[in-house]
Amino acid sequence: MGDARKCENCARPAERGYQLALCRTCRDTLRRRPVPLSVKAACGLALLFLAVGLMRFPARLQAYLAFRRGSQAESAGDYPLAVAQYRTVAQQFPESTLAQVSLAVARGRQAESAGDYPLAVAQYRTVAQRFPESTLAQVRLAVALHRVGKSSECIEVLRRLKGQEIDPTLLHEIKTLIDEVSAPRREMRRSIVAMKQEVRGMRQEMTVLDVSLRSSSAEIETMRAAIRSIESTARLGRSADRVRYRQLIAKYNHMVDEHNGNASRRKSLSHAYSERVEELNALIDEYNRTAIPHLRSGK
Amino acid sequence: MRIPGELIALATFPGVAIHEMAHQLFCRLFRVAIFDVCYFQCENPVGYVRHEVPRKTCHHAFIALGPFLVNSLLGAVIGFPAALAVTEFGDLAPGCWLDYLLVWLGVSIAMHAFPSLADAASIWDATQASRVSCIRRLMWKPLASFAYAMAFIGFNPWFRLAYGAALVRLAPGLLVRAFA
Repeated sequence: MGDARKCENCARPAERGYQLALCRTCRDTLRRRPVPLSVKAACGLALLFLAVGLMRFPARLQAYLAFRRGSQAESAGDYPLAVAQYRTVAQQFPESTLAQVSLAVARGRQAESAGDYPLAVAQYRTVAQRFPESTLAQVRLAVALHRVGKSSECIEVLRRLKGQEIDPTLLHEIKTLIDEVSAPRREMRRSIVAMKQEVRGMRQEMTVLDVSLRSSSAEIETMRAAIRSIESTARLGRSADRVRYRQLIAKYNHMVDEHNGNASRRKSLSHAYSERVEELNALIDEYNRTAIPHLRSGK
Repeated sequence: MRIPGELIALATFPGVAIHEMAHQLFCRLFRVAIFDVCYFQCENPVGYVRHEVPRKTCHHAFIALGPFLVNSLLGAVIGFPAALAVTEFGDLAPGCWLDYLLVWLGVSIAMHAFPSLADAASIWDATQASRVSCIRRLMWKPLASFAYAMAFIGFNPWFRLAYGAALVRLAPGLLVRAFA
């Protein structure tokens, strides 16, 4: 083992094969350099934490596997099994958004599949209130609200989703929902266009009538002046054209009747116009109130 | 924003200590005399082990690259029981601080797995020694180059952090998927 060289530390024969001349004892002493107590204590503490972590691990693993089984069952439409699996996860992670939302959504889906939409709404509403950041809960709530006919509430929920990143897997469902919710709005839009045309027609008719009334009014005034002139001639004892007078009176009366008829028509038209404009404004308000925001994907 | 390497090392000091302890462990295994060990300091280098030149090139390689294996393995093992809870469920219950502590510990240890430039240089120098034959030199050069490559990658603290996080995040999921 030893070579001609001497140990640089103790002058005993040095070990062979090393550049540094050290005897076996000195090398063993140096290679077994003790680890400081503070480092040993820190390692001990880390090992203690690791031991506690490992003790908790089986329950965590069980929960993780239950979550996977729950997801698979949910995808396969086996909601009772999904609820049972997610319940295990939720018990292990009571504060986890994912665990709680998954459980509530599975319960809601179970209710949906049984046709009990009000119960589904209640489930989704609870979880959406507790975890407002969960887009999954919000989307499911919107769908269930639409199914129970609460479209305005559904739109409110969709509005709350604006600006949030939506999971791409939910986008298709949201698109379908928006299409369904938008159907009455499309109908409303058609009604608005038709009513606008009708109102525009009424306004034109009123303008025509106004022109006609102004013209007939001027004509009546002219005729009234002509009649008064004949009457004043007759009062002075001069000869008056009786035939023309009678013709003028008859024409005057006819024109006044016509004018009064037009004025009455104008008045009723104006009333109908005001009512229609009010209806149109209310419809436009409703249309704007039910506007559905554009939602964006999370990817 | 540039975060100084010393600050990152301070935040992940357990990894530095484990890295140096791994060097020390392999020195002990291969009967290499140790002159000085610094487990952590707030200056460059943040930790070191000064030892004699090992007898064989493979000992050199183990001592230089040992921390890569030890830190990676230990980081994954320590982070393993907690990573599922934190990464999958993000449990913020009062009792889960231990999970976050273990994840921090695991990531800290795993991110200091990369050999330093000094470690890579020591393997390279060992292959250049006159007593090493040409054939062995050719055998060891790729490993020395690999060590250099790892050292250059590990020079960027964000790469190190990404490696640590990926190891702690992915290892449990992959293992569970493989065996469940």
